[in-house]
Amino acid sequence: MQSTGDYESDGNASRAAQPETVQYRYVKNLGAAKARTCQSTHWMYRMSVAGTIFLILEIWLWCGAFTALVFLTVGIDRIDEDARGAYIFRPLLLPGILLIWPFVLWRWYALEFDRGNWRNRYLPPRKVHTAVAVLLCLAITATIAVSWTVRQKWPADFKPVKLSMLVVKINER
Amino acid sequence: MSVKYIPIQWNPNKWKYNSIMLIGVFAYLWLFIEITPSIMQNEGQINPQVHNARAFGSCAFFMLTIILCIGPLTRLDGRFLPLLYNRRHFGVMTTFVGITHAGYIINWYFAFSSSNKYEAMLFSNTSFGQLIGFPFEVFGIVALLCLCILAATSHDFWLKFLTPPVWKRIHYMIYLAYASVVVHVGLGILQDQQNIVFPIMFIASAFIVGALHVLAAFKEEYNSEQKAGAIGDWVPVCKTADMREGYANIIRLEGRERVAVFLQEGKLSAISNACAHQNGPLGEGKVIDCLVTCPWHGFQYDVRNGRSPAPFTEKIPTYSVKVAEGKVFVDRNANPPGTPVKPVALPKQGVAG
Repeated sequence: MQSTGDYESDGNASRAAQPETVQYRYVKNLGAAKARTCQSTHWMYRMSVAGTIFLILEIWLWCGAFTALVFLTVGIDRIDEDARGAYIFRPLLLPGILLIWPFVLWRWYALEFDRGNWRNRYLPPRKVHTAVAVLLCLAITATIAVSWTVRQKWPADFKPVKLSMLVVKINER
Repeated sequence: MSVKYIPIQWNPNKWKYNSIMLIGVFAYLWLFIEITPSIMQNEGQINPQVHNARAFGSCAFFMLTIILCIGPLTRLDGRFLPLLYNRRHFGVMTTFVGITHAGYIINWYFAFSSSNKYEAMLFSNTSFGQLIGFPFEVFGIVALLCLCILAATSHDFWLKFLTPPVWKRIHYMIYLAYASVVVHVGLGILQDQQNIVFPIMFIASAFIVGALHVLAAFKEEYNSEQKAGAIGDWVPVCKTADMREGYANIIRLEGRERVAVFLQEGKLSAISNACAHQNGPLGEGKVIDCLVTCPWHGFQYDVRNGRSPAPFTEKIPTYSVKVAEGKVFVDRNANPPGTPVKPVALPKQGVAG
């Protein structure tokens, strides 16, 4: 993928001079007319980053869909005896597989080829709990302190002014 | 459980729990939207879209707060245990309320963008270098993503498939979700509130969650200290006089492993303290007819062999027990799940009330 820094450093470059990139393809999706009016390359850069994130998300979900198709039709019967003959609950697993399909592949592989140490199943991660609880408490305290500190006071005696009138007055000056 | 999977295993308690939860959600939304709009939000005029977004957003926050309070409350006081059961349904409902909030926000603030509204949500504000005007939406997205993963992996299949420890680790994301929501609210609506009611409720809720978690964590640490005086592989659990009929004493072995030693009809049996379902604390359950019931979700095991009664097939590790020098000892080497171990008789004079 082309470095997005090119767009930022070359603020006045014409669109025709810019290389075809994945991000740029998404900008094009806005339509040529919209793209022509978009003079700020920084704006285009931000849009293209957002487009790239959604492209990655789309690829991720397609991989999940393929994993779900194979796992729910073939894999699940091989590794879980309680799932054999049970079909109604399978659609409920679809969102989970779409989101964490690498985990699904890893566990499927582990159950097919390596049963692992049965002891691990009975070792809950409770020891981490204290650290997590303290971290959560600190994060909450810090967040509230910061957000309350930067909180802006609302001007109670502020009288709204019509901006259009303001513009007229400025122009009159 | 260990019978064929079905979408949801309904029982009367789940119906009751879910009914109360739904009534609570609708009551809150009704109060927020219809009854007390001036108490919970800005006094200035806002349109119904923003009004509804705030109602669902604050509802999701308070639901998440309640969910996170349930865990530590049950560790501090067993009377809260009924709230723990079916907490997953509560979580799934919270996810849907959160999605509704996001839907209102996206369909109002970003729907009129010239580009895709979802992309507009990401690029419309990128002022990451400043606190005032920080793109707090990012934290909302992170929280919602976490909640979606938790809701999507809430079926019992995932527990068995991923194993309870892995499942638990994934579900630690609830803490990330809550911290993200606190930042989302703190840098978002809290900056815009003229009214003091919501900030007070928000700050109080967040501090209660933090304080309860720290209290429960330290209580657990204090109660599970390893006792000294091991003889070879035999680890002392307690004095024989400390055993109570029908109940267990729990010992934490080196590492994370916990063992629950039960006294049942004057005989000692030891099993893993971690339920095969969600690693719930079996040692906190009571033995009736040789079966201990997990206080978290009601899974049962025979303390003599670590097996669930038929037709269920869950199994947990068992441990060998012995009595010496007036103390109860447990062998630190676990037997494979479901291995029968002959109960050891306890001298009658050593049994506590």
